[in-house]
Amino acid sequence: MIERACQFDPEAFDLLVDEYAPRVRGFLRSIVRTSDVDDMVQELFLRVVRMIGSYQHVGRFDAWIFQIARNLAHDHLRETARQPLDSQALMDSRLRSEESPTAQPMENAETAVQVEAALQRLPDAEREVILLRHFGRLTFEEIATLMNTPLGTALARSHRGLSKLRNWVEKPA
Amino acid sequence: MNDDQQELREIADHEQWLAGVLPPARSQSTEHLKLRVRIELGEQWLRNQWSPTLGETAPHPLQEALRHVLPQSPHRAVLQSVPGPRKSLGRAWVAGLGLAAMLFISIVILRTGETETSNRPDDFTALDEAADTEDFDDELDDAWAELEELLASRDESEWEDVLEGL
Repeated sequence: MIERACQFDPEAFDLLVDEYAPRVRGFLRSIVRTSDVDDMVQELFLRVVRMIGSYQHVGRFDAWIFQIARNLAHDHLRETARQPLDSQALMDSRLRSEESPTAQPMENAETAVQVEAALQRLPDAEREVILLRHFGRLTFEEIATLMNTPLGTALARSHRGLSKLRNWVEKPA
Repeated sequence: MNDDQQELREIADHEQWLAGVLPPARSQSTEHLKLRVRIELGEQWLRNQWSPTLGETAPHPLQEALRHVLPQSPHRAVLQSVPGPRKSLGRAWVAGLGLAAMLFISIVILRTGETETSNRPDDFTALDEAADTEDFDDELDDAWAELEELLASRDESEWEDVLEGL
């Protein structure tokens, strides 16, 4: 699929969209907290089209595409100030959501909102590591390379962030 | 179990918990996104066709394949330097007209030489004598006829080629 995408095969890109759009969307929505996530997802895939020729097949494609997503998120954060998370608005949007035919039950939706709110309380670096693992499915080695940090630092950030996250959600103050 | 292994185990446990409470998001519809991507693919393909290099991107097989079947910028310049049939015809006609004009002028000059004084050097005596002959009159008439023939044989549209060539 990647080889065909490098040759600008439209059907290969359809498959890329099917595979990566949901994951990229989840990553971006948790990072930038904006209603313009779909626009950002579109911008990401347009960048993929323009830059696919520079993909050197060194490392996994997942790491490459999430590098683009990370750069896109950072560009957006630099341009806009981060807005406080409106948990109620987010809950409302999830309840109205028609994203999936198998919509989450109300209880799971509430927990998801709590997790997303708790993610925003984490330091940026810890949140980023957790999201790159969860949505990007990257290895810690890939994350360390992408974030230009030692492997041990990436592991420590993940451990600290996940511990706090779980504690906030399971034992709210 | 050492600290590193303990840390990895706890990370795995936390990640498993997170996967259960934070499922991957689903795009509402990918059809619009796929369409937009296809448009960009087409535009990128066009850009690669007309650009001799990829700029910041590395060469890829598709572009290399296109380079073998499409005119390249350097070759295009060479092709443009070779004149087409109309330009060649126009240039030949201009050259012929120029030669005829030069012949006419030469004859006129030789003819006017006959009015000079007798103090001219002897080397020109033969020319003077020749200028008086009917042969030069005939040559002059021939030159006029040739010129008129050239002018009459060309279509009006070819005047444009001549003027363009000039």
